[in-house]
Amino acid sequence: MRPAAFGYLAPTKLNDVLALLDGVSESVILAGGQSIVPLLNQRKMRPALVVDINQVEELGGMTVTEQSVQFGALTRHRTLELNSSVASHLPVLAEAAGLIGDPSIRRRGTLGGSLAHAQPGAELPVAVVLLDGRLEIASTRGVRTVRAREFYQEPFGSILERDEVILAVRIDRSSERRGYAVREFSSHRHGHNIVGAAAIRLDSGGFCTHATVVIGCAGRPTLVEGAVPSVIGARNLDDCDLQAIGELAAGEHASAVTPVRSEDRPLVAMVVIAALQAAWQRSTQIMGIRS
Amino acid sequence: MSIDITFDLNEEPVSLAVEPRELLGHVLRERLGVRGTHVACGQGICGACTVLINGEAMRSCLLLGVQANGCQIRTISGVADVAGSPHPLQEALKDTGAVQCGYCTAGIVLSALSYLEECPAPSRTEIEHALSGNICRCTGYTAIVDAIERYVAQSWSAPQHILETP
Repeated sequence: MRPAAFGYLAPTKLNDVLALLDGVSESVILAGGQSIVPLLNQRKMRPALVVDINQVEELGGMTVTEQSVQFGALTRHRTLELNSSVASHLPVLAEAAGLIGDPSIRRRGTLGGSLAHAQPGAELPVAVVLLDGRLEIASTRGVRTVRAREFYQEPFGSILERDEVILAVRIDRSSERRGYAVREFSSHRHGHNIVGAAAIRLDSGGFCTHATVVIGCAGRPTLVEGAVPSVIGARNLDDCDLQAIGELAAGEHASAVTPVRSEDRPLVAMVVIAALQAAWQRSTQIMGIRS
Repeated sequence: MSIDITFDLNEEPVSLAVEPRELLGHVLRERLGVRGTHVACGQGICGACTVLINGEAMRSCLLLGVQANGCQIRTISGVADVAGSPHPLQEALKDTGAVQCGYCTAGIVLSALSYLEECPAPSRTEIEHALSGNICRCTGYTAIVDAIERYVAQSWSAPQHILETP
């Protein structure tokens, strides 16, 4: 399996990348290549031009301020997984990145690439939606900021235009003192992952004041709104009907673009319940609550 | 389109002209005759194509040859020492019976050495997770993980840089 012929350029300046994407209609961005090169190898993609962005300095780096953590689009999954700043501020990103492929894939694959590729069941889109991240996106028309929760449309589809490139991802630090977790079921038979992610905030008395659940399966990363109310105000997660919450999550995802197959629904329920339990446990630890 | 590239291959400089569509794994095997690296699935799943790029294990089937320009690349051929004595990890794999057809072995050696640079004292479970991207059809993996555990234990009793020759 070898790619069809294509032209190749590796600009070092962002403006040159944008000009190429604008000027060459059959151009594609090459970042980590862990999703795109298999498609080139199988000739599922036959671009006229591959624009390698790995040498664009403006796309690297990680910045921590009091308000936010900002990652350049070229941040490698392995960096998210192992970096101590990520571990202390956004451990859920480290957890999500650590679920991707294996270390060799993670040394090359990038945050921007994963978000842009929008693969159903991908971990980082789910985590960034959970964290309510903001994507900074550039083209020759300028720069725009899009909320991750408004970015995804359909499997492999987002509002990213063909000639746009993700510059950076910014995560607000105001929700840092919550328990977060990502859980995943992965089977080659399914061909994609089933991912559940949860964020829980407990008050000092151990009562839940905030809960967010996101799932990734066959469609786009989906914020599960209906499951949340039954968890708010609870003192113990076991007091909630977890099975019903799980089934609701599987059902809600079914209404988001691509339905969840009936055989996948128990697995969606399972990862949601597992993520809620882990997030609750971590919030308990963060708040120093004795159960 | 033809692009001139230069890189360091197993500590020897190489220069050649490649087409952008030539994968690094194919450049190594077909243009440079370095056939210890195997290109199998072409999708990054099996790990047989693993090489070290600037010391880090990556898939050579998911890198274009042109992307190797300016890099230091080490393949399995560059793991044994200059005189051809096997690396202690290779000895351990032989001792535990972890090599049958040998097709996955190059990728496993390089994945393991790279991982141990990052995490020098892993648990058995961590070793298994680190090798989750290397498929073996023959051995059932147990002997492979045994060998890496044995190598890690040996490395700690006689500390040395992981990639140095014994």
